[in-house]
Amino acid sequence: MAADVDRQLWESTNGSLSIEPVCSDRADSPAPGLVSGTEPGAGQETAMFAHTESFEDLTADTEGAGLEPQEREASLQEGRGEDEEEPREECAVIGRQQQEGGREGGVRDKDKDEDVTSDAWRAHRKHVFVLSEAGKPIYSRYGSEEALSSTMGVMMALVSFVQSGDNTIRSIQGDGYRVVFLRRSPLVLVGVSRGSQSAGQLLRELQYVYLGIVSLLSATQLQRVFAHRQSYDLRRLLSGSEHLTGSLLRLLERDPGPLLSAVACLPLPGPARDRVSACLRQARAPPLTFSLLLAGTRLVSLVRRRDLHLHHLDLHLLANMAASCSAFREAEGWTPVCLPKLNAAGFFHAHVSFPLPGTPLCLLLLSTEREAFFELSACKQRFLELLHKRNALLGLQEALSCPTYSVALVGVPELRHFVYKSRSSGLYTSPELEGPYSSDEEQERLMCLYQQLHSRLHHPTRPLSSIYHTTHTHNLYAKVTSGFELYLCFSALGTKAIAEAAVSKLLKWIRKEEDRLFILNPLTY
Amino acid sequence: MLCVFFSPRMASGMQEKQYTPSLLSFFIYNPKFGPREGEEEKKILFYHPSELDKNEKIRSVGLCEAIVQFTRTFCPTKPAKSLHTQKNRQIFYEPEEHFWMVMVVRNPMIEKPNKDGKPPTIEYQEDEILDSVYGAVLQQCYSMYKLFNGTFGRAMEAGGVEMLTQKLEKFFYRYLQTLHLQSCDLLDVFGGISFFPLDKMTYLKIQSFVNRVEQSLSLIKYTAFLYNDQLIWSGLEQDDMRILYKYLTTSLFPRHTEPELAGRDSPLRPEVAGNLLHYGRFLTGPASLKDPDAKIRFPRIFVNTEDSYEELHLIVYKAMSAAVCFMISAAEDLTREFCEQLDSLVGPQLTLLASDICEQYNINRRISGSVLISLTLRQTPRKCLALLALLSSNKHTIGAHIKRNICYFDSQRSQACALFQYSIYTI
Repeated sequence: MAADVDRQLWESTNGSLSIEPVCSDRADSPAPGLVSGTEPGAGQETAMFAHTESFEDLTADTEGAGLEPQEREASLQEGRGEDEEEPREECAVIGRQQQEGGREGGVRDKDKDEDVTSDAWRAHRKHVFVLSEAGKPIYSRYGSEEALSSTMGVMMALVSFVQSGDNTIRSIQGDGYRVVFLRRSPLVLVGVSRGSQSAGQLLRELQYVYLGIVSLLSATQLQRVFAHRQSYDLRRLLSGSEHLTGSLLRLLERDPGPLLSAVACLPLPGPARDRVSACLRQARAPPLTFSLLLAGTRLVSLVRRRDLHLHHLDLHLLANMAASCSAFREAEGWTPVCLPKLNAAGFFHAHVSFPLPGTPLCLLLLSTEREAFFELSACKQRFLELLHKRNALLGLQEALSCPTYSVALVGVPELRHFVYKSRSSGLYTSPELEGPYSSDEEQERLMCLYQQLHSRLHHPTRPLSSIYHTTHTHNLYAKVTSGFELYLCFSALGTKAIAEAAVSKLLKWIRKEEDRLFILNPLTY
Repeated sequence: MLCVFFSPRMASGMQEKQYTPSLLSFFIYNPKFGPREGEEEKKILFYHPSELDKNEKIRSVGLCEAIVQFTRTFCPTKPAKSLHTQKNRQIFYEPEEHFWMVMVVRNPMIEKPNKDGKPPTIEYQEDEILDSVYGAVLQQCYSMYKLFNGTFGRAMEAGGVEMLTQKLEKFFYRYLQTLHLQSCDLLDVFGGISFFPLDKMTYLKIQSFVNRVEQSLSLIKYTAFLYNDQLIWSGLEQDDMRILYKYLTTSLFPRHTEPELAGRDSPLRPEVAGNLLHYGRFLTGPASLKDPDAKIRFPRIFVNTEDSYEELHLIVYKAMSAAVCFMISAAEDLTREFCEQLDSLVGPQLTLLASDICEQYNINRRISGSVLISLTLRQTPRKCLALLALLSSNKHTIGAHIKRNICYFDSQRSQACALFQYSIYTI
């Protein structure tokens, strides 16, 4: 599946098959039955992500799915293969730095000291455990791994017991909670969640956690470590990076991006964004493969090498890494990172910096060369100079000071919140969570409702094209066409007729605002 | 020429085989009965299939114990309810403390043949079966056992483990053969009773009939009245009536084909010589009152097991489409005279009543049918229509089930919505 999509994109970037929608195709009032590529937010030229049409690629095997064979070969020739050995140490070093300076440090310690037999520990909404196939604990979200080693032993015993009957354990359902098992040799991941989250959604989060670990070690190294010694204690390699997993889990609970397999953009007027992108492109250097400008998890601009596509999943992992390490805020950072969807076997090297102090703006420069730190640091300097010279800075700073917009702008009074994803560009947009959703608890509840709708729409055997769901506090409406995916949340006073009318009104509004809400002109070097 | 052999048409010409969910195993155990190592077999009270290797049985019971124990780590009060694996689904149910019933259902699957003589690929459809449906089936298994045998605990008190295992063996050996897992659906979750629609006058006639019989035969403790497999009146608690209703309509009634429908010379037609006054006959108890050697024995049922724990004789008496259940305390000795008295009292009246109901029903049928549908339409237009269309294959029970839904809908609007969506997915 993923490979197919890659091939299409790859071919289209070579020019022979590219379909470029002409501007006149972009009608002002798009009908809901838009075909892929002409919906609001669709890229003008070619897609910038190797995104997939649905979330299936999370369930497919990661190994080897990300790259076309010839591409993989090419990238290995560039010397990425040689890097595989060393970053281990480097990675651990950075991890420790992060922990020392990390703002998560305090929180983490509190979580770790928890008594694993207490009611408070049991009451957590979601537990995640990672263990090796030998039953050795690697990660637990709450409580220390040592205290949980016997529980994890039981988990592994259950997995291998069912396996011995030539069968695979999927989940255990209880009254109001479920336990989901995921085996990704050589690791086993177990998630326990309370509430209404479906087993499928929990499984997706476990996949993310697994890929998060791969992004630190690479699949090759992970395999090699355990092939060498089955009972290896992986925590030695991962020490200091636990809070990355913690913040990734928080991201999964709050952010619709991973759910939709899409990336949000920072709202920025089209011309201003084009200026920033142009600066980013001009500040290139030969070893660069990707230049990304992020504000938190929102994408400001992305410039890529012509033959490579970044997967939205890799981007979420990168954004999580950049945002959760406070060390990067103080000084430029240089860290190896594996992008599991692009190439699970090797490492990229990321130059991470926060060029505008006091703002969440983060510049990520990715290269395949290990020694390119100074070259990329110069790139960053050049980029900043270009921003100043071309007066692009002011617009950018303005946008950073108000990174979201209000849902009231759409002009539907009953509409409380929405998430709109353009399927062809892999980008989504969503207004600020305001009013009743100001508390974390309410935000997570809304996300839970979206997740429920999502799993109904994308049910593996009985997919739906639209669904209207009424509870005593909400009216929710979700719709999928070949062009877009839309989730709307109305107040309790909403009706189905209002929802239907709101869809066309919202699509018109997004069409009007699309050059501010989406990246329509992705650039390559 | 070779191309012809390997063309995709050839491959698609081979048939995919579809398998419905089926019962892999069913067992009942109590972890307290064999706590020491080497004594695990003692935990198992019943195991189907019984011919399975002893160690295999112990292994599967061990897995269930481990899972229940494991989930207590996260929720001490509410242990696991089901285990999903690629190939099957296990449902756990603890009806009485420490007594666990487990049902293992194989997931439905599709067998796709491979060319070149390779073994066929099997695809398990894991999302096709619902915990709620099979959980309800398992609970029904217990309720049905309890109706005829009382609780596990009482059997233990009366005759120890031996007596319990005998009872379980005797009951479930037959009962499991009647489980049709492939056709279980949402209706099993409701476990509802279908009520017979009736006008006021006829309903009052039935009530006065029940009162008169209870008056003249004071032994009778509870009465239930059914017509056409649908309930009209019941004196039992609803939970007990639900399972009794299930037994009557799925097991007892189908076993007694209507002799009224059989031809005059058909062997099905019972010996009614000398008794042409009425069509009444016993469905439980003596086959014929004329035979002086026949033993007067009625099945026993257990009701109100939560508090008063009553053991009762179950007499089911039927005339044409009307059936009455009389329940009498098991402490009473039922004699031939009593049966004859009952037969002569109830038989003629019930025959008359049955033809009355039939007449009224035919008059009212068209009206009540349309009332039901318009009522449905007013509540949830499209969903109800879809549901009606989906369920129309089973006309008799459906009307009542939809009616139940509407009642539910009236009182709790939002929840009923979900109920409707749910039912559409399931069926």
